[in-house]
Amino acid sequence: MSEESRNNFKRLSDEDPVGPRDDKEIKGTISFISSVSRVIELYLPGFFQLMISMSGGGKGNENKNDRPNNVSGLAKRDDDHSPSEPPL
Amino acid sequence: MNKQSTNKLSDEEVIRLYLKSRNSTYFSMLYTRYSGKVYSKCISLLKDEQLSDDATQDIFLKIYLNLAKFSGKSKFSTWVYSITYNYCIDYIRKKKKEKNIFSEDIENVGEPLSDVPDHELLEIEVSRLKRVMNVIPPGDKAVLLMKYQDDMSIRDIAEVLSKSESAIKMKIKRAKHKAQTSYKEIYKD
Repeated sequence: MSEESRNNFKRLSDEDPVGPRDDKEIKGTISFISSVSRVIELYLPGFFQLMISMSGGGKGNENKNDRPNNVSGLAKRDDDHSPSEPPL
Repeated sequence: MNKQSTNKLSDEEVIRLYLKSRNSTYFSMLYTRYSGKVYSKCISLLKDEQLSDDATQDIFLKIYLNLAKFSGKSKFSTWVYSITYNYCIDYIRKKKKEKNIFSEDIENVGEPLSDVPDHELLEIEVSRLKRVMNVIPPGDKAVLLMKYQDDMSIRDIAEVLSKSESAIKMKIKRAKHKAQTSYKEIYKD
């Protein structure tokens, strides 16, 4: 870097304290960052999905409409009277 | 790849390799290169060692999560410093509840200011400059560091502070003026 571009503001940063950055600390921080980001990446989409479902949107609604035919079929049959049953 | 050859890689190459392999060794390289600088910026704005340690960790977590979004339009260092300044200014505003971030928040903005030539600030002796920087509002300090220490463009600074370029030019002008008047007040003789 030329002397001209190295103004006193840049020299100021030479005097700033630099945090303890040894290998052990770097490894610790990196593993912390990876763990936290893994948690965020794994659970955040699930959390949002849950919130959407709870608010009545998304897959929850789709499931309601996608009920298998036999479910409503059975319910209907329960209400009907079969020929062998006497009417109440 | 051995340690010596990886040390020669540019930041952009390291990022490319990291995104391709997801090997944390590459991210560690970025951390080793920038954590000290990020920490020293944090401590100069937040003025608290423990807070700055936590801030450095939070900032690198942000970098880790957003690395794929780094477009390479600006230098990686500029991107890292942008996140750092943004984090610190936000912290001072929200957590420290300081409203007077810039000198224009305190002083009369209607008053016309004389332009302070760059060389008058850049030639202030380092220990004096350090003292001056510690008495001016944190926002003024941040814009001066962005411009004169990190060589960030007006456009980059405007993006960090979510202001227009003309507003940033005015903030720099005021910050220079504030630094000069503080210098004159401290070193009257």
